[in-house]
Amino acid sequence: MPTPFLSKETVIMRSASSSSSRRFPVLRSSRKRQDLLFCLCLLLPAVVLCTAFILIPIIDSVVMSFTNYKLVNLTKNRPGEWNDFANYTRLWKAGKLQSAILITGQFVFWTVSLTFLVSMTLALILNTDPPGARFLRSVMMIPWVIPTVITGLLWAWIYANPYGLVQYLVHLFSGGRITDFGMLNGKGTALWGIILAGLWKQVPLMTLLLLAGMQNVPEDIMEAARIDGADYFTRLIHILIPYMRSVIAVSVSMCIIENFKQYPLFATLTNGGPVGATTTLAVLSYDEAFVNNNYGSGAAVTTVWLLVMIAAVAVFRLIFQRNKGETA
Amino acid sequence: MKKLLALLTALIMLLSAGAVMAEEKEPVTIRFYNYALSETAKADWWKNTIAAFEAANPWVTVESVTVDYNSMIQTFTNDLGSGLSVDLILGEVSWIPALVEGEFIQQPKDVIDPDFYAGYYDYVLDQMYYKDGVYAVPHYYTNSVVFINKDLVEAAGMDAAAFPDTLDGLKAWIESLDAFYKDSGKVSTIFGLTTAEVPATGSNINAMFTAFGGQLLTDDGKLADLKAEPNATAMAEMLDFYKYLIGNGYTQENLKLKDYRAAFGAGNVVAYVDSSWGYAQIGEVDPKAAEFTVTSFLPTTMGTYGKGESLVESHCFLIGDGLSDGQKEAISLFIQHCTSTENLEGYLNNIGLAFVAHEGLSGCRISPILEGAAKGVSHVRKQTQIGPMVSVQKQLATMVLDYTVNGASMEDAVAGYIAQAEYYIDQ
Amino acid sequence: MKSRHHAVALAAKYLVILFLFAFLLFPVYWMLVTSLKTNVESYRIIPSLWPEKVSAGGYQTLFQDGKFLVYYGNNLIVSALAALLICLISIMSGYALSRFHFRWNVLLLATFSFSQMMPVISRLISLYGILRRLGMTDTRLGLVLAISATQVPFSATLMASFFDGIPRDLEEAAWTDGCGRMKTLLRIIMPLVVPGILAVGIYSFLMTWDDYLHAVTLVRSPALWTLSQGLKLTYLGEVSDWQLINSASILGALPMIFVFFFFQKYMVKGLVAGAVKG
Repeated sequence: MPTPFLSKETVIMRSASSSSSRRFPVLRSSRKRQDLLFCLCLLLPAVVLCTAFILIPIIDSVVMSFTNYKLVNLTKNRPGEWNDFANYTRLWKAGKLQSAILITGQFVFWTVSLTFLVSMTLALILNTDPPGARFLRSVMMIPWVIPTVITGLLWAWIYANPYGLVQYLVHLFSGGRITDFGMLNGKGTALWGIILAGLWKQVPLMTLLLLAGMQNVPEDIMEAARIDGADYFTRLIHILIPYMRSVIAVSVSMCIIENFKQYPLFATLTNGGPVGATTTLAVLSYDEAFVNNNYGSGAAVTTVWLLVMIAAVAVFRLIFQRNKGETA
Repeated sequence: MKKLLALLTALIMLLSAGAVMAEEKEPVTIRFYNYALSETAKADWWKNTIAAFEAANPWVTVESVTVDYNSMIQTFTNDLGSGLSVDLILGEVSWIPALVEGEFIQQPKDVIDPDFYAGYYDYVLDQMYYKDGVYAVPHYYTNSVVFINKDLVEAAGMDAAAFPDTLDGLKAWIESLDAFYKDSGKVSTIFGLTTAEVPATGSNINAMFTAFGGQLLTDDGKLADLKAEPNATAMAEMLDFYKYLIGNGYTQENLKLKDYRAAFGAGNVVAYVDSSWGYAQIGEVDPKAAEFTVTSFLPTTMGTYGKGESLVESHCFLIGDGLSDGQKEAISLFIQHCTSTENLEGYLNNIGLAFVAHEGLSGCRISPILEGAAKGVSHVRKQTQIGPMVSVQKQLATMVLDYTVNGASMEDAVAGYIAQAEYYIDQ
Repeated sequence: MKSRHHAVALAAKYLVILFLFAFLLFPVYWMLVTSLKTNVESYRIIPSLWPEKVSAGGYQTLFQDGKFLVYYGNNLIVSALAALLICLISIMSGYALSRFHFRWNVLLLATFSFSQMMPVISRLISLYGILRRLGMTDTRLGLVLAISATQVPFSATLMASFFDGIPRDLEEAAWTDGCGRMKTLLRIIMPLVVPGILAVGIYSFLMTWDDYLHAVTLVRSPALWTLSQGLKLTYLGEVSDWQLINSASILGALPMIFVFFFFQKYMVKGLVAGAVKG
């Protein structure tokens, strides 16, 4: 399921919507102080919870990535020994970081673009109100509500070799030439197996969001363009998509982050194999920290992971912003 | 004679228990972390064994704690942190380095009664050596066992008892069975070797490497020189054997042991290599599998240098650090209680098939299924434990897949392995 | 000519719908069918679309061995508590964010939204250390607090967007009548955002039900395992009993499907409000 997050845009919109409704009576200073106090009290639980369970652990982890932190540090509560960039260079020299970044990139790129394409197609079709659209719209959401670990188990069974459904279909469509196709066993196909499972799980939510975004597209402009003789794809690209800009921005960046963070699917389907073909940054950091008990190294991977993710979202935003400038 | 011996042992135990009681022992509690409790048959056995022990030693309370394989480190860290003691653990050999590094466990020789300790077979104890000493005692052990479907072999007109003794003989054996079953669609695997990238497969491949005459780790816990002899030849011959099996479809790539166990139980596998206790899952698929299952040890001539030796795998007792004298005595008694013919025989025959690792158990009956493999039982080689053992062994599977399936040259596959293994060892 | 073109487009449209829905729904059907087949039937080279002999053996085992129900119960307790806590906290902070506009509110939101991007695994080690110092590892409370924290930032903004929809005149009237701030919030405003509270609650419930990593790290007693954790650790171990795994999956997915269908109006509205309108 998508991990909720707040986009920068959301934040900005929030503050914008507030200024528009600044109809509060002119505040006297004592009232303002009381407001401040009240506001603080209301925010306190959220601040405490997020600081203790999100912010501090993150800072802690970044610090840990520069130390030699092993099992005994954990058991005996000893602080790690500072070792500058040793964890990073060790990972880099072994080629682990580069390969994990590449695989993570591939996974995120393909999952997000395919999810977007499929969802957009589905949303466009459902938006034309075919018979039973309401029903389809709600059964469509089933994959989204199925827990990720169960999604993994389900697809593990579909890909199973032998006896799996996919293997049988390949057998059938290859006219019996390919007899033991193991989607997750081949170096070239394993990542696609996970991408497909991720697609299955994420298409429903994005379709739902895109559909909602389509409601905001003014009907009359579309109609006018149609009368002017603009064909379907012209209307799509020049009217519909620009109108849906903010929905697309939010749902795609949500999708990017969600897939950057994906771990349970890898854990249930491949555990990083075969031959490291699905070892993403998530799998690598888990392996370093919890399989090899080298927590400093695991933290180094996650720090890189965070940086890469921020960069990816930033690049996406940048491209999006520039396009916006052009169309405007 | 055997019965007399057993009676005598029982008498001695009874007497010692009596003596203990007479001294009015301070009551002690042992917190016993056991990873076998999630399986019903094993859990029942442990429950009964512990109950019997507590009845004989009323001053001891054994408190069982289930520990999951995947989260054991967190479990121990957590419990020690919150003031619970970890007194005794039933685990695997591969846990030793992590537990020593975390300063969880101590050497059993300081806890277990010296006379009893002396009874453990050295070649099994040797496998539990880490850094400065032996850190566990075996409950029972296994080497590499070839499981053979007698019915399938005999249907092909061959003698199941005559398992080949050389690598060439094995290949001929495989080929004639393949010729017989090729078009029947009945048999999926002729000779199964696991190559999935999981810890169990890693140790299985390491054992195959040993069988081909190789030695993966030096005695001081470094990666052995895989480019020097006999390792280079052993490695080359082993890789070619895997390629031979996978390339010709005698075995599947990337299958786990559990896959072979299920398929063997379903009657689709002629033979495959596993630990002795893998039988438990075979029996789960077909309760009557004992009728068609026989075993053997690996051929004693495997390539140029190979003598078919294998490595020991064991379920073993690991003893917690910081015990009181009373707890030490109780643990010593408890381990002896669990490692007695009277208690262990039923387990080794019905629940987890395995071989005994203590001379006091020499009278213990071994499951008839293991009869064929039993002759090769002490044919094992010592291996030093190292911290990153799990990853270093798991990478073996990656190397095999690289060479057999992914088209890497032998040099590249081995060089890749060395780089990975050294990465994990030098941390 | 045009109508023929139209017919082709229509046919293509239905074909695409058919294909996509087969992709989305057939796996669910397959899970159901496998759960009703014996393993012997599942292990056939040519799979059957419907079990020859319907067998509920998998479900039977699950209910008999009792472990599954324990995981289920645990997950229900953890997710329900987390959803309640998240609702409470996000009502408070959402109201604050909607009504009071101090400069640092924006900063706060930005910090949280950024921190949410951080992968869970990276937080686990020190999260574990923090909970240990608080004596809350291996407790439900610790798990509830940890997974609630991950949902609060999103839920708070979601709630804020619902509060934004309530006219301020109401509060001013209440204040003039001498109602206190807290009382105004509880008596006057809260009843008006019930749909929002439902949306946040159900969304949080669904999201926390999906948690796997927090549970695996922070909870270790099998008596406290949650569903995802229990499924992965118990049924995906050394046994490949696909009937059992699929039965467990069906039972694990069903309540979520029901919850969704029952509350989908609020869910959809909430999600759209949160993600689309901002």
